[in-house]
Amino acid sequence: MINEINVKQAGILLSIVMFANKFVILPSLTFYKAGFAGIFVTTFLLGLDLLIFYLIIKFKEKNQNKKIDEVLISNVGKFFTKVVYIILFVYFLMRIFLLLNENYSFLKDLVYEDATFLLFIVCLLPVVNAMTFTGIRTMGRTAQFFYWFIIVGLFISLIAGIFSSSFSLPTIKINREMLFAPLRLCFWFSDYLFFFMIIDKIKLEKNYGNTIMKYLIFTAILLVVLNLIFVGLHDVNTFIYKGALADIIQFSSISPGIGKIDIVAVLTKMFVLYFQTGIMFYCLKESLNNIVGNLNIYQSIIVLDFIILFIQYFCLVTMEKMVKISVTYFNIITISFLAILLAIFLFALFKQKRRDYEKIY
Amino acid sequence: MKKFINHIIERPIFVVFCLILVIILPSALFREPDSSRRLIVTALAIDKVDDGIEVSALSFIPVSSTTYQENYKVFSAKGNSIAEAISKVGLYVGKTVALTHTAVVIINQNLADDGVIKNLDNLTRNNDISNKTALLCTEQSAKQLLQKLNELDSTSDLSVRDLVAFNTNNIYSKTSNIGSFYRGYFSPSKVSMIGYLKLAEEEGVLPNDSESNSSSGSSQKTDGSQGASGSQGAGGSQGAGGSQGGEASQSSQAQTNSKILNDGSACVFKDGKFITILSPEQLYQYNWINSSSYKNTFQLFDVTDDVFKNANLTYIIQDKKEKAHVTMKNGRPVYNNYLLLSMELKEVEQDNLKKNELLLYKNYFSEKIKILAENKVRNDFSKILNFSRELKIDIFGIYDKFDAQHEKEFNNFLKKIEDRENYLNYVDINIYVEFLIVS
Repeated sequence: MINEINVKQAGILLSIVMFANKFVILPSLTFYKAGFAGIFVTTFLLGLDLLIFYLIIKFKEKNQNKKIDEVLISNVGKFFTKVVYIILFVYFLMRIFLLLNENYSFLKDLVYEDATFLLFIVCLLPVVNAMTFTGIRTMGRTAQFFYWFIIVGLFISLIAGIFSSSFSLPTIKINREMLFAPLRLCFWFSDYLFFFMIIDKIKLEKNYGNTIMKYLIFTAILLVVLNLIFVGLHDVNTFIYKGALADIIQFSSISPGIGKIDIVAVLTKMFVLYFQTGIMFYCLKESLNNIVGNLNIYQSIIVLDFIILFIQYFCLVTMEKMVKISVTYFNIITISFLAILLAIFLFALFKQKRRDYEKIY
Repeated sequence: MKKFINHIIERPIFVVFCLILVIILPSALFREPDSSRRLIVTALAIDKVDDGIEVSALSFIPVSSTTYQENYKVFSAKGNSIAEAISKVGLYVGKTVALTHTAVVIINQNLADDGVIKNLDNLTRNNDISNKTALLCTEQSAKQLLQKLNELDSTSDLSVRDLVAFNTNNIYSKTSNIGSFYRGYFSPSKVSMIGYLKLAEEEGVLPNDSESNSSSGSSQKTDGSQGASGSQGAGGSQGAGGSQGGEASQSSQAQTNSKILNDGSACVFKDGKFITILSPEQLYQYNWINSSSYKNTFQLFDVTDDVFKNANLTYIIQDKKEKAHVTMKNGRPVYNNYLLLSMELKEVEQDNLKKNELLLYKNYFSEKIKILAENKVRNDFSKILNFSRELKIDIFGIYDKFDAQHEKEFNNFLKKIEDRENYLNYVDINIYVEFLIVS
């Protein structure tokens, strides 16, 4: 069985990945860094992501029969290809840690305050391992089934926020901090790197680029709206609330018989968490295979589980530590990698054009 | 069966699932329920005492019963900080304090004078308690008020949450919770407004009652709840609720028959410190430019025109459209507020009422009445504006609006004036009213 996903499934997986890390602390962090102009920061970074997604699609259209690692090897050599994959491995690992710790903190506050990280991992990791084990095709099909539950949950949360008595459209004020905030927060974005890893697994069809871009643009719009509603609801207090989606619905005026309706946000977040972690883990596995050669699937999963647990417990990773490192160091890695990636693509494109030119003459 | 086992073994995830189930399920099944390990607090009262802070927690005690019975008790403890006091409450009761269901936090005016922010810090950092939790201030002991509120919580027809909700919608038309308090604190004007409840004391001495009452579904109130509006007391009590705890004071041994008085007052804070109390009349005046508030009555006294003679007219405001417009003119801020009031004539109080006056359409509104109405709105607004200017409290949020739309020019203007806090005196504030009479 060829482990491939169709274009629709690819769009859905990328849409879910684009939601990653953006439902919890990011909106309040954006406000803290850039004030009311944070909405511009989010829009700018999402726009940049979409642009790079588009560039990758175009690049793949020109190199349809080649895999990404073959393109890299032919352009920069084996050694630098391995370096690229090592950086990717570190990047995906850190994204997983950020995701795990953010969500652990979020679920601990909202669902079960006595929960240990071990309990959280026991609930999450086996499922994530199973997703990786069964392959991207199964993941894509499962995501296709659950995607609309996630979107409906998101819509309910956003609509509840709009109808809250304390919601009013925020007055956007431009300030100096908004120029530097994208540099600090880029680690939470840059989701095109996942596309980079799974693009070879997509069964390319006609106009596949359009389908994928539609899903991504839809996701980007939802995220901008989420930020807008979050800031509109909490105004100057936005920086206090660290669980964006749940805090939107919590302040809603709608009070049904069950009392607390943030259960909708919690369930949406939990659905998304499984797929996000699954995709990240899958990309981690792929980059590990590209570094050390073809490992057995069992070996990859065990090694990765061990690495995650070891670093989590040995380095005493917490959400606060991850956020601090992400705005200070990992953003530099992200920006550097973006520069390297763009350089490689442009170089490959230039080389391709020169080859075509030489062929003609 | 063999086929099933082979099927499971081929899929390792099932093995993992069974393993997890076997390890975790027994500990989950035999674990004692959370309600027996946690103290479910439905209301908190915070008082400033000589040697620190006293926190009183109105707690729901689950009791297995075949009848509808809600059992509430008040537990108190003192500490140097709220966090310490809350942990002591848990220590005395032998349970972990759970603030997830806390609907209201009451603070004492002495504490408010001292500065609310430093005292509320624990409640904001604590992820249990939501910023949506109602925040009220009281003149007397917050603990005493809590004990009175115990009476309300124990019945199903009126609770403090209902009182706060009613006041929010109909009286101050502003949310009065921890989140809104912080919103005001972090805003440019730094002004916050929260609800104010009093205990009205009546004459008479009642016997002490140190027994804690288990308040049942049948009401123990001496007079029925008559809604929370106006100057009516809601609920009476004879020292309901027992407070327990090592350092706790004894149960309320009210020597007078005090009642909760929800007269619609609100208290104003600036920079987290208590400034003043707005009386219901002042709130009424303030609500003219409060866009969320429109369900008001509008009274005109001693009206004489072609139809009426020395009549008192009462209009009901059905809808209100309010728009604030801020500009800078020659470096001076100008704040114009445009009001459109949709009103309906509800009552005419006049001696010797004639037939045609009784049958008058509800949309009667002569030029003279219009002038009187405009003057009334402007006078009301001037009174509250002068009050704000005197106390240097920007309850209208004028600074916020200028900061949002003309930040640079407004900051330049503030630098030029002598007393920056007194900026309200230099802002040109106008109100323009239009009426639309509906039937």
